[in-house]
Amino acid sequence: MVRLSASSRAIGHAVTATLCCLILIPMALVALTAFKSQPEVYSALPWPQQPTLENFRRLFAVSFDVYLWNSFATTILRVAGQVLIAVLAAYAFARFEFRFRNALFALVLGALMIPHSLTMIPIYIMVVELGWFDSWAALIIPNLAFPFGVFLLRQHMMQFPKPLIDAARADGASHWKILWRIIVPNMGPAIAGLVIVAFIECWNEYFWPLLVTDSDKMRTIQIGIRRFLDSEGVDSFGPLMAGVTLASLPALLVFFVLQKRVMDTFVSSGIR
Amino acid sequence: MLTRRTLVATALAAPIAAPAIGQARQTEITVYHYQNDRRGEAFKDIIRRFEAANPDIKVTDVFKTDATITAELQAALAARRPVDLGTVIGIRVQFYRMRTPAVAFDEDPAQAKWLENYLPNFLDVGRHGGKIYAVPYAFGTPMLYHNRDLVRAAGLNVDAPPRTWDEVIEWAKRIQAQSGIPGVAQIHGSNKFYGTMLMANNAGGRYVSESGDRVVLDSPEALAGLQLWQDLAVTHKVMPIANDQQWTAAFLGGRLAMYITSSALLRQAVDSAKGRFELGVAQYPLFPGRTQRRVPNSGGTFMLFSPPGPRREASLRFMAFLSELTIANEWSRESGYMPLMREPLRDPAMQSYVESFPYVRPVIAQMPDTIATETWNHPNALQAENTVATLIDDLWAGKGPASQLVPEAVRRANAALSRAN
Amino acid sequence: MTALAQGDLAGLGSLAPRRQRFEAAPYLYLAPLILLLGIFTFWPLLHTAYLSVTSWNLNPGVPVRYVGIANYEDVIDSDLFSAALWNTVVTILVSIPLKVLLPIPFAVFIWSMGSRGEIYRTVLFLPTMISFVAVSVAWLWILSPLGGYLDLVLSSVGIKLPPLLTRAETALGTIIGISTWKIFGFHVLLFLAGLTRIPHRLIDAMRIDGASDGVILRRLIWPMLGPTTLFVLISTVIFTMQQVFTPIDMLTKGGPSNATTNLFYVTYQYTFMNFSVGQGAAATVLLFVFLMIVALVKFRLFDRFVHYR
Repeated sequence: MVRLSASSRAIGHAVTATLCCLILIPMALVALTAFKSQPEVYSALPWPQQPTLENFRRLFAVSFDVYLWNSFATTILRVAGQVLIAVLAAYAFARFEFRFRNALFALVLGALMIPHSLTMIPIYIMVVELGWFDSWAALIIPNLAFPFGVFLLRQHMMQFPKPLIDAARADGASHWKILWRIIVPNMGPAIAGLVIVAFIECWNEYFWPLLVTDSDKMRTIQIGIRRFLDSEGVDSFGPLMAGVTLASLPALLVFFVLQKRVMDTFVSSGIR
Repeated sequence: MLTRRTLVATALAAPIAAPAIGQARQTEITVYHYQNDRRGEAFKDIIRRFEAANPDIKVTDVFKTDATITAELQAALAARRPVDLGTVIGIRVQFYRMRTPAVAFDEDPAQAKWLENYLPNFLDVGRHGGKIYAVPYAFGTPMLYHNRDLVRAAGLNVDAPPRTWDEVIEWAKRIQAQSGIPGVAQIHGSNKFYGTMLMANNAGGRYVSESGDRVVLDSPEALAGLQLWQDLAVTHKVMPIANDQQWTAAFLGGRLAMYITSSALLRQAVDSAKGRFELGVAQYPLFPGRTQRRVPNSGGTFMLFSPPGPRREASLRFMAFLSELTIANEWSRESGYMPLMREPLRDPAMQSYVESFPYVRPVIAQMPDTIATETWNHPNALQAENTVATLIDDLWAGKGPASQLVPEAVRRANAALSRAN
Repeated sequence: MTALAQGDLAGLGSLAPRRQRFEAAPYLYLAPLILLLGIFTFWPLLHTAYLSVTSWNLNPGVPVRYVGIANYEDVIDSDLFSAALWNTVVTILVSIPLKVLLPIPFAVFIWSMGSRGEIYRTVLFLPTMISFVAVSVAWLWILSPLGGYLDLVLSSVGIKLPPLLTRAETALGTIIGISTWKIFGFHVLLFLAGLTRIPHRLIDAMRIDGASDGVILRRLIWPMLGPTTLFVLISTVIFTMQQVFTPIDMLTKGGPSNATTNLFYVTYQYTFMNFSVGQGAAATVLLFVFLMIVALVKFRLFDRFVHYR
């Protein structure tokens, strides 16, 4: 561990604490405003004087519960699929030598460089022709390939101590066993980190669900928020802030759960 | 299983009512629209009643936000998803006519008698080659919404709202000086097209040429309109520079004294103002020196995309239902949109509504002043629209007078239009 | 693409001699990924490239017309595209110190605190978990010059909040600021992850040799952070810029005076606002070329400054 001098530590604390305030204050303001009554939204007082659930009631009047469920379920399914596929691919890249390996890996890196917006319309048409429109399949399947995950996991797998694998090999373990019994269990932090990133990406997604879902039954939470902003007359920031709070809450909860796992694994990682 | 009796009944009914076969097999039509919440419910309610009266037709409604519907509809058509009726914003009507499988409502005039119910000037937006390609269903007209509490506090006569832009500016200055709350703003719409057109039209000019392929904002009239818009921000400093969302939220929150926006906001404004401030609604201000108000409508039309056959027929029957005076008026009342039919007050329900809801009076008074939204007759107008939007930003930022900035921007916009294929 | 791969593969060291016997296993492990990438990434990309030389609006009834490079000429000539290009370059240049380099001292500081740094790390990371839609709406409210929260607070002490998002001079900076607010903590976390891979015994050994903190930072920590820095660079340009689409679309629509549009947003403007699929596709291909150039420049710089310590 590096030990900084007392003065650098003091500066570090001051600057980092300021930064934390810059992050926490807007978040607190949003959360508090969600509980304000309509006129109070335009008061400089940060907290509500008469807390009310009115803003939330207005949200659930337009089926926010369904949006939440869709976001939640499709995110979990998609992240699970992404991580599984990425683990398999990363294993191939990190532990095998085969023809076209470099070419295929270049393809994966290339995919990493291709923004989603470049491929949106052809995929949209494909989804429709496959009959997936307005379904969870449309939300999940086109996004199952996760080049970033492959990239990240491959890096970690390559750093995995070779002697351990060689020992397992000597004991006659198959590739499949080595992957799931030895490598994956020791990649807790990397996989947890990947899950967080995949989760962020999926939960945050806005454009894609807007494009491929149609009915209130299939909509996700992000579109629910936008809906309030887009209504022909936006009326007040109260319900918007309630929507923002609600949409952020599950993500933050999941983060706190996984964050603990990430930290635990970091601390207990005897194997780097 | 079919009994002999039903067979006979079907056989007898068939020659009388053509779609009777549909009783065995329902015709399904899909309608894309951008009405949600209260308006969405009102629209769905009308659909349910249509279905009750026409059991052989099932109407599926698809909601898209007003910001995305143009793209969504386009994407749906491109993906060959079923679309029978779709909302198209006024300025995009001719584009859709040229670039999509849209068909005229009166291709078979016998099936379009209901078009005669509409005010003829409201159908202008969809007219091409003597046919009607777009039928209004969500039209708004710009109104001068004002906060009567702020007006009163500034010592102005609340019962004589401004009739001209000069008076609007006068009021805005007084209110701003008294309360510190910004004076006035006017909706501009996507790419600032609507606001720019409104300023140009009311001053006697145009944004897009009659032919639909050139920008003509450099006419003396349009130039004067744009100069006025700049003056609000730069010379008189009564218009806060913001966007539509911010202005709307600010006005409804009591943080903006006067706001010019669509009559479609009426119901919501009344609801929001309740308990906060006393709302006033007046007609769009006259341009200085002009006696005639010229305001383009805002909002959406339906265009027809059904293939020939039962779906097209069902769609036309749905449109006919929407244009029945009582239904159309009910839709107007529930949604806040302008009444669309000739002499809407023939309907007693509408009459009692106007009496019980006086805010709607200036809206009805303004209907004869409504002119058709200008439309592009050019497949590729984005660059030109963008250049004009930039021009408006530059005007508001005070980068130069309209007489200097406008001709240069118009030249660039037209160069882009003549280049684009 | 190839250049990028080579840059990365250079770090792998030499590859073992090629196997004689064909082994199906790696291909099977890769199959799901490659299949999905082929269908949902590369084929649509090729399709886009094809569309860029046509004039079409995606409608089945309208025939596709081959127009050669006309779309490219139109796009390159337009004010919109040059504004987008300029804004993109500015955004990247500002983002490198702000989003790539600035998180490093924070990460080192938090790392130096050991487990007591967790609270900082957690707080800094919070915005990453919040969707960009939510972040945009929140800042729209806070920064609104008309009754936004900051305006309410400032006006109580007699200051007028300038219209940051609707003034050309400040709009791009505001968008960059909002995106930094969102992504900063994620980058700190990535650097922290890189730091924890540095073996403690190496630091201890250097310290015994009398190395100061500065020397340890320069000679050990900075080079060890190389792979992480590369990764953060990539993600800053692609991941962040693509995400910035959301605040641009929700807050400024690319304006005022084209001050906030970027190469991503322009593509959307062409394709979805004007349905000029051909021009949108041409802009997309140009964007692709731009990204390749940026990547090349980065790997060059990276090789020079980081790899050969």
